[in-house]
Amino acid sequence: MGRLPLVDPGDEGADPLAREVLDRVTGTRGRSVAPNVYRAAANHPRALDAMVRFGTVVYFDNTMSPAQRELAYLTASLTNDCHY
Amino acid sequence: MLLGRAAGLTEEKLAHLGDDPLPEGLYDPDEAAIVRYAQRATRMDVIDDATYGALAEHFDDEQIIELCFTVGLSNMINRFHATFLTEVDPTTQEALAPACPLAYPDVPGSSVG
Repeated sequence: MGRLPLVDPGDEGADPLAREVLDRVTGTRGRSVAPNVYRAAANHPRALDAMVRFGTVVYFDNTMSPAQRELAYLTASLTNDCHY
Repeated sequence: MLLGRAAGLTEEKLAHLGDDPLPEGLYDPDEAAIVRYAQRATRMDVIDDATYGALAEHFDDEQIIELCFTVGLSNMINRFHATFLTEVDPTTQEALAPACPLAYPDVPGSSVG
């Protein structure tokens, strides 16, 4: 059970910036639903926005090959024993 | 893992990311340089000349900055999950469930609230 509510981009009452960033994530990542890490971080919309922008520059759209990119990310997560 | 597979990483390469030393010949030289760096950077080990030099053989300064920040981003997200116990979304869970090359640790038994 997570400690944060998961923001639903379809929720009219949700923060507009949070909804806009979540829609941006699903649009650019080719997923039907934004992964939960984004929906949890959306409890702080400006932080989510900055995180997505930063992650896009240094990770998702960086100059490495997909395999190189994922080796860096996955190895770090595994070393931290984080299997999200 | 899903992104790893989508990036063309084999199950064997995914399964040995935590090995230190790495299996001989499993990873291409540029890949091995990334894995060794990501392990050491995450453990906050000293990034010695050999580790950095192996990166510099394959990547320019801008790319090494990208690698550094990608490892950092992963560490940041790891801590986010450890703090907020974010659950894996069903879509990812379903795709991963049949065969994750790495053992799943127990979710910390803390109660919420």
